[in-house]
Amino acid sequence: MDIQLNNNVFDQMAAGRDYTRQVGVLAARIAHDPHQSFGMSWAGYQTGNGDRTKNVTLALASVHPIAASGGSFIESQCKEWLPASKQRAGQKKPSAAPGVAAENMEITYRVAVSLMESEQITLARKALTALPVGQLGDPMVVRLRNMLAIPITKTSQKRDIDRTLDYQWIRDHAQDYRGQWVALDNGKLLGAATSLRELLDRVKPLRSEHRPLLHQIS
Amino acid sequence: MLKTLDGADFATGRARFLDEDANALEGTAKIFVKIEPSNLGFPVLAQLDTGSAWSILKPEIAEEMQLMNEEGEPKRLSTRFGNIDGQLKRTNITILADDGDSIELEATVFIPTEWTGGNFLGYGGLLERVRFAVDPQENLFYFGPSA
Repeated sequence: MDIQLNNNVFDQMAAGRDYTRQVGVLAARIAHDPHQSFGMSWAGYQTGNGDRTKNVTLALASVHPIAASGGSFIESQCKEWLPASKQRAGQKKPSAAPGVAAENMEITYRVAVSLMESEQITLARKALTALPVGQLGDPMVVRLRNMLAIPITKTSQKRDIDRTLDYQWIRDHAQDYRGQWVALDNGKLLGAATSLRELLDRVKPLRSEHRPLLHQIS
Repeated sequence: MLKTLDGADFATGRARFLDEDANALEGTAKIFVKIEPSNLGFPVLAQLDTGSAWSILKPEIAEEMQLMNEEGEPKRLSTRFGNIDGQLKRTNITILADDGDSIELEATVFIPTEWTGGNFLGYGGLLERVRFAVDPQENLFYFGPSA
């Protein structure tokens, strides 16, 4: 199955030979990363860490930009590091090296977002590892890395009670409370409301033996 | 609690789950486990859904968790209700145990802008670091942290 870079961010880019070349260069670099942060070549990559899609192939053809459209995602959100080739005429052109670095970061960011959009979470994480350390501080990259971070778990002594009686109440009475939020404890209805806020206002002052189970009847 | 073949702990806690939501219209059994989203202060039910790329929390719950004002990653999620717009946000959720230890997770969840469905525990950003097993005879959900 091909990865579909389907968030259209590429389609919003102005067509340019340099940009297309950069995509290819980045993809090649990612594919042959000496640290094996991707550990793969794009073609025929076998995911083995949570992504359900096997035989992932990055269809580079699908990232070729097409005709420009105004007000792109990048222009509106990524002005700080928009590559020189994408900036409006008249803007000061930065030196070549930072421009290339920024462009690589932009492309990597977009690849990661596209992978995330297509639910290729593990690959999106790996795409971000291709960024040089110096570019990891960019606010948008930081936010994306944070969202894609592997969950952190720890055990807790916190406990709930067996809710068998509350589950039985749901089975027996759900039809009478459709769409409502209910608070249950020990098989008894402590309150019902049309909104969670309203239910919390009712339940919080109560001194029930246990914290009630809250549930919206579907 | 459950052990791996080499004797290590597989699960650290267990809880009885609800296997039949009130939504009899759909008619198929589901597994609803108890979670406590941070700042809510009460347990709520969430459907276990390993086929879902992300976990979903109802916007009303996110509101109470004070997540709505935090900046997240914009996202469009394909669901059985169609494409839903919202944001990915990092937050804390506890999977509650009746016996043994609960698990606290720093996880990524999807907060829809509008959502008529329930809460879901999806694989990406949450279940991918949780070991779990289901005893369908007793309606028991065993779970523990993975690494």
